[in-house]
Amino acid sequence: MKYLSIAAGTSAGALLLAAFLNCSRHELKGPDTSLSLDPVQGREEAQMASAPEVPPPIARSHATRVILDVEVREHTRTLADGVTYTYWSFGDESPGKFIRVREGDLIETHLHNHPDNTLAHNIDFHGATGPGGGGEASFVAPGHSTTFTWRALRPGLYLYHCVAAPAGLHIANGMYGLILVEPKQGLPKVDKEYFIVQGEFYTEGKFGEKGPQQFSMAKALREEPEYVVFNGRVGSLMGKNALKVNVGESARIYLGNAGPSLVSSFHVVGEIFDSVYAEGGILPNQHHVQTTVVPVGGSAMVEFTVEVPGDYQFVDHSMFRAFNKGAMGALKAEGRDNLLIYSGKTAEEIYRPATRLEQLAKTADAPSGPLSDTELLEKGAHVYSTLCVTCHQAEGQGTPGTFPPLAGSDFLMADKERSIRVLLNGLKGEITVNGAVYRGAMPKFPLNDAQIASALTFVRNSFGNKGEPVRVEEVERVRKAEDAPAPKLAVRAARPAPERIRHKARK
Amino acid sequence: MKEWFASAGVCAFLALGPASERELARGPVLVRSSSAERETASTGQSAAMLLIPAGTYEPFFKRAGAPVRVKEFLLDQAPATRSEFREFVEHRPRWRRSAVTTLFAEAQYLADWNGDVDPGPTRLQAPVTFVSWFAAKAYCEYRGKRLPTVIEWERAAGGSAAGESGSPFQFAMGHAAPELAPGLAFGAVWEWTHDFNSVLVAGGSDDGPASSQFCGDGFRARDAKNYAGFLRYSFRSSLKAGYALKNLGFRCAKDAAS
Repeated sequence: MKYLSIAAGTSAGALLLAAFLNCSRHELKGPDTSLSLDPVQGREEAQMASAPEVPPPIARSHATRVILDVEVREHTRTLADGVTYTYWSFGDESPGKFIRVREGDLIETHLHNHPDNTLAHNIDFHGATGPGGGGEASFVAPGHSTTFTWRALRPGLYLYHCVAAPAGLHIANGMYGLILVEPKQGLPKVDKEYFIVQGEFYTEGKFGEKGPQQFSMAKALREEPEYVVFNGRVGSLMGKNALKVNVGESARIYLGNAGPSLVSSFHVVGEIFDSVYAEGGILPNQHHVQTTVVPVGGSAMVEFTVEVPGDYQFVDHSMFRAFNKGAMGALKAEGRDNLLIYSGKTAEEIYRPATRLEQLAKTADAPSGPLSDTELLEKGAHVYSTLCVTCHQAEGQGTPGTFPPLAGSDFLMADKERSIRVLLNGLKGEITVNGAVYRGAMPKFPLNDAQIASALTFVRNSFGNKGEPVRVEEVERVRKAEDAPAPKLAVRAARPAPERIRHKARK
Repeated sequence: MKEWFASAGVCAFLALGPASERELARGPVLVRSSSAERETASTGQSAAMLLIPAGTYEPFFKRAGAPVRVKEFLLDQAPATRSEFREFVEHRPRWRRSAVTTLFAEAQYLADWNGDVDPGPTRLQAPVTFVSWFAAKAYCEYRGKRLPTVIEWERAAGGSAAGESGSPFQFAMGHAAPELAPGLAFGAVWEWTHDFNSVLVAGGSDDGPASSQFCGDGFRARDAKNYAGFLRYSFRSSLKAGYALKNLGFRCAKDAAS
């Protein structure tokens, strides 16, 4: 609202606003609720393709009677390496084939329940309008077929699934697929099309447990699948089964989520969707999308163009599903590198941040002349903040019972020379500070005379303390008297010179 | 198990008596395939039966008047076998593959048999399948028995099916409560029941409407976690009395008093 009122306040803004409203009117054009049915001309077999392939766009410009035959199977299939499961599926594999029809088509559906099957099944097309989406009309015993017709009234990408009781079980065993009702004008042309359906498996055995697996009622009720997979099994789109695109080609992926429990957050690692048709509607309603939600029992379409060659993984971004339950696939993009967009790795080197002592070395430079009070305080503050602060704390308050305070410390302020000796040699044994006894130990640090003089000057004039500065010469004198060796000063770690940027040729 | 199957098998080879005109007269719509073919009276031996004691049964679908009182009854220990069914069709020619009308058994009736009275050399003790409800009912009557009602069958076989443990498929085709009648065998095939489909039963269903194909059933069921029950009721409601399916057999029951 705020934006709008500001925009309206200027003539340029008013133009913008007008454009915005125009656009809105266009985008928010109401749905087609008409019932003007096109005449059905001729008949043809349904266009179908097995995962992950998608049949080509409909070339027809009229409605027809589409003959759709779907066979229900109950059979053992591979769920993961060494893991088998009794799938129920539309056709030979789960998910069922991708079916492509045109808006206005009359779909004559024949559902065949294989004689070897043990259960009654049916099919519910989310793209069909009528009770049960065909569930009741198609309900059929083993060894029997049913026929019903439905009109593809509304274009969009729809899930189909078995809805025989208990519906969750039929879906959890693999009975689902996708049907695209293409709008009359078609969808924008793209170079590559694929489809992916996400689904869950609730096995008695844990993920990866070898052998035939039984359905687990308990896990299903908790909605905690062992497997969350793309296109029916772990690895269906990995390795040699990866989806393939060429750099610069436009691609569209038709996504479905059969669930039956978990909403999917579909993401291609390293790619941005140019357009998303959220929830499988026919309007591209968003551009530049990183991750799109695919609801259970719903769909989405994503379009993108890969700019850079290489391997791209796609996941349900609920990452434990991707890593531990199978919700992962791969897209292989072939073509020429584009270094203006993405360089790939150009260098790798050792990374070692400076240690505290290396940082101290910055204050170790030998003074060219006597240090002024200000120089002593500045250098001292640096020494304190890199070294002393760890124990004596930011305000010099120390830690009661462990590290003695410097703020208001009688021990510190009483004897300058003793303080110099403590910094030269370290300190061991019992001391009393402001009436409290400390039995700790302070190590000897490799500080030069200027650093010691600075640190002491700083602490004697900080935290409310007020005292004479400590001069470098005083430290020199004590060091000689103590016969303490001058420290070996740490030097800054030598960093390797950055390598020249290498533009490695990509494979 | 083996013993009683074997004894039933022997019966099939006995020389049998003349046709019963009374039996033929009971099926006016049946077409006799051949005047030479003569039906015979049952001298066959009934399969072993177990007494299912009287008790109460909680119907799968919620309804008024539950739980239901179930009288004691006798139930075959196991489904009728191919061998036993051979004896039946030998004595009741109208139920042979070539003779039965499509009204009472669809085209795949006894589809896995070699011939009219020939189930083939193997699997004689396996449950007979590809039999219609009409044929199953006639078989039981031939044995002096009847098909169990849904409630009787569920009381005998649905006892342990509910709950969250295990897979529903282990129980879907029946799972006897061990304390009820030790020795009952279930689980090899689906089984016909007398009133599997309420449409067929005058006076209404024993256990709710025939349709069980939608999610809404979760609200109607007494225990929505009884997935084995859902599979069973769903399967039953997909049937028509003439259907003959590969995984569908039957067993017979009898009133305890008779």
